[in-house]
Amino acid sequence: MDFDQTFDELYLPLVRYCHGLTGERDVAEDIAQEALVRLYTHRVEGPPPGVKAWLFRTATHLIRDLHRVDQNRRRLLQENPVQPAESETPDQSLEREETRARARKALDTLQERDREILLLRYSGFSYKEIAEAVGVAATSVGTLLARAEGRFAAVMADVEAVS
Amino acid sequence: MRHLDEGTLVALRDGDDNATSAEARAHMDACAECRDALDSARRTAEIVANALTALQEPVDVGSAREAVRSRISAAAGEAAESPSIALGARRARWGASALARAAGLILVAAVGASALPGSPVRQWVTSVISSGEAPSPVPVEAPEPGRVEDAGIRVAIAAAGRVRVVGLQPGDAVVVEWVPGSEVAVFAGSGSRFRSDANGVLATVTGGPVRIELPVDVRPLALEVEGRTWLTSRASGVEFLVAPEDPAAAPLRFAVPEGEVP
Repeated sequence: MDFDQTFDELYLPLVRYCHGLTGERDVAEDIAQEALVRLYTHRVEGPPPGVKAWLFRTATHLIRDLHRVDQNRRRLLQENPVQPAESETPDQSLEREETRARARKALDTLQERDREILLLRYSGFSYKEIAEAVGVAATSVGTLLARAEGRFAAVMADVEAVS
Repeated sequence: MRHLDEGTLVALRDGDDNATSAEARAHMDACAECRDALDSARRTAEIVANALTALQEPVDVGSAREAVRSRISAAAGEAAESPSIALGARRARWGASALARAAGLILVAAVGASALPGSPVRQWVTSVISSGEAPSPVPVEAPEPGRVEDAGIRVAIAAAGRVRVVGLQPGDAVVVEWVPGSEVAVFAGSGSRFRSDANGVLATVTGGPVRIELPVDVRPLALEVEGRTWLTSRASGVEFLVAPEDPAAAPLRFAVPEGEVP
């Protein structure tokens, strides 16, 4: 398995998926890198779709484990405030920033499983793969996805109406 | 038949043949109300896709690549002694319970907290997920036989290219995605065969659905299905000779028309 090719194809989608789940870019990058390191240190082998599914599933479980110790993390945050993130590049428009904030809020209102289903689908996973990754029946994915999309879009619309 | 439920509607929208039946597709053809609902589901998908795209931030891929490469090199000795994981083989699940793993992580986190003066979150997270106490990934399950993308090819092509697909049946789904670069990729079910040269790919598939990645930077480029040209990409633009469900959608979704297969 060629490292550069695998990295080029999968790193960015994986970071974006993790970012969607965590809301924190640095954490997302760390999780994505950890999953890729494990891919090679565990010597995972298989066709590209299988490797992609393995990576995303591994990242999902790493994030779930981080959430399990979220209380500790919150305590650490309180004791050790984090420096503000890097400022956005100047050419990013205000509208994009507002859309980003709305999208983040909409994602945060979803339950963990719904968020995973939504982000996996928009990362290109099939319903069958989503079912395997999230642990639901394949026949339920369409319904769960539709409801997650509906809630997401409703929150986006609500926030737009308020702002 | 009653109107289609929301799950079936989005499965039809997404071209997931495993989740939809011929009966549902026939109902869609005959029911204006359900077609309106499908259009609504497409608009919702567009809202979601645009919002998720807006969330994307610049990522320093070069630094990440070197960081990952360095960590893999450092772990190479240890990895050489561990068994490889062949995708498709069912594996034993974690020996420890989820509760024990969570407890182990909390312990690691507590130790990390005491050892990190100033404790930026990133350092803390890195310490947790890099720890030997962190859980192993979940086992890899065997892929479903015949599932889309069980087989595939990805090749770089020259300044002009052609992608040919044969072996499909009327109604089979073909999903086409434009990607940066100069590589063509075709993915299909198990048992599909692929041939390539500098000018393109011939995929002899065992049926649909088929997913195709076409490079935006290679022109002219043609997609042929069952001997018929479906689309061409030239400097002047993309021309569809077989209409996708939505020419503005990404990815493009097609269905093999009736009478297409000789």
